[in-house]
Amino acid sequence: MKSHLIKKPLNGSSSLSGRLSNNTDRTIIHVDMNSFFASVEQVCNPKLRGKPIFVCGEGRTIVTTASYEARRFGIKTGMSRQEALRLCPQAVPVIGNHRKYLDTSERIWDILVYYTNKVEIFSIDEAFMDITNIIESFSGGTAVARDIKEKIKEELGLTCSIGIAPNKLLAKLGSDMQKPDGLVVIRKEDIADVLKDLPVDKFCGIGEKTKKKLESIGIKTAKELGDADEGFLRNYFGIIGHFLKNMGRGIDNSEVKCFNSIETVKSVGHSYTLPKNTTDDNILNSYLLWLSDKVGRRMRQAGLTGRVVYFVLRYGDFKTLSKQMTLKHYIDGGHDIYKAALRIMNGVKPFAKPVRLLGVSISGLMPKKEQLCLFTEDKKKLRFQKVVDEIKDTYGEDSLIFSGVQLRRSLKKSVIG
Amino acid sequence: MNISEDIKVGVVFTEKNQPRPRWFIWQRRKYEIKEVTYTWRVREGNSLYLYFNVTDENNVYEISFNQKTLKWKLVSVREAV
Repeated sequence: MKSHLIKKPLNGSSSLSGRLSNNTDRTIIHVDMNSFFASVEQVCNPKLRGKPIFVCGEGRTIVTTASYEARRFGIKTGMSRQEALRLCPQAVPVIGNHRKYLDTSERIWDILVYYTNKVEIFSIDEAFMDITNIIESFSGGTAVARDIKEKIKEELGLTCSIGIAPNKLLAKLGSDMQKPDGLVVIRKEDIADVLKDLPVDKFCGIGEKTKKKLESIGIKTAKELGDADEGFLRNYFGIIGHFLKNMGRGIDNSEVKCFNSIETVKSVGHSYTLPKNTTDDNILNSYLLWLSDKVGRRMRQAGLTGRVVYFVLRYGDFKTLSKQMTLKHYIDGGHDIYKAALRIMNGVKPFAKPVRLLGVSISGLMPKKEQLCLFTEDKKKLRFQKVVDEIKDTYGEDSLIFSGVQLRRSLKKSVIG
Repeated sequence: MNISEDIKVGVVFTEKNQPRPRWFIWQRRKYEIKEVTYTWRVREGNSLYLYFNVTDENNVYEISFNQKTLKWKLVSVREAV
């Protein structure tokens, strides 16, 4: 296990625990699993260990995760399978198994929750923890981090990178600084040095577009962002200007939410790369219905309802467009989601080129409450939905599907064989 | 290669009460398991499946155990590469 400390090396962890146990200070950890899906596959198959591999879907899909050995050849997430194999012909493509990764993820969260219930899941392979209240009993934050790393390695054979800092923004920055198997501590007194020459896009939340906009006004580093006039940033970026200014100063007051808190779920979505590019309405509608049904099902399982429908479409040349629609009512039914997504998709037509990928997600979420239905139609719909869910709960997800989804199945079969 | 066929499995339970397959019989041939490399769980309807990635050094096998029907299946075989 590598350990990297910013600026001053810590002898043991006494100085960290002594200072960060102060009531006004927080100690936040960001745990980031290293090339998660690929690492799981390398644990599953001993002969893949140390080799360039990448996880992808069946047929012509994209790379979802590449092992560190494959990354050295330039293979990246989002690249087509063909492109990856062009870069590294000896790389081994492995068909991903999402349910395996989901279960692994749950086992990792089980390990983290053992320490504190202040565990906020950030994605399938990342989580924040607020360990302020437990560092005393572990003789310091680094000791907690090392313990977590050891437990994950022992139970699952996987490595992770951990960042420790006074807030989520810096903890995430820390875990990105050393991969794989890193441990980086950013202390209060280190912040100015860390931010001095840090490119702005190293911050979680600053993507290519914002980076370019910032560059156009002469801001390239975090320090320059922190020194910029907030009024100017607000004029240029709107309310985001305030958050950008804070980022540049290494400030993030957001709380780590409690494990299983409903607020931690921001959106529920699915996307899918089609077996072959197409502009065929029937085929695209069939996939859209399938994706919408999956989204609706997951929302109901999580007891959520939402009203912002987000649609994404990618053409064969990887040009991607996305649109969203805010509805007046909250929805959680697959068919309702489909109707909204279809309206967005119809607004995009005619398609400039054949479509490669479709995606649907719902945000603007809130916990679902039992409502009294005034109209018979709504009552029927609810009852129907309940029966469908009961059947799926008992016999599995594929036990009942919309007839419109059948076309998708036959297409997949004819392409994959 | 996806298989999805019933198999017979010899299992021992570890000190932590975890099942560890030791061998399985598929199409009348016995396969000795050298290593259980990974395990995971999947809920399918009201059935809970335990999945095991196991290897005999030549191939990696995915086998599953349905906790409701108590049936073992060979799900797939992949060459270890």
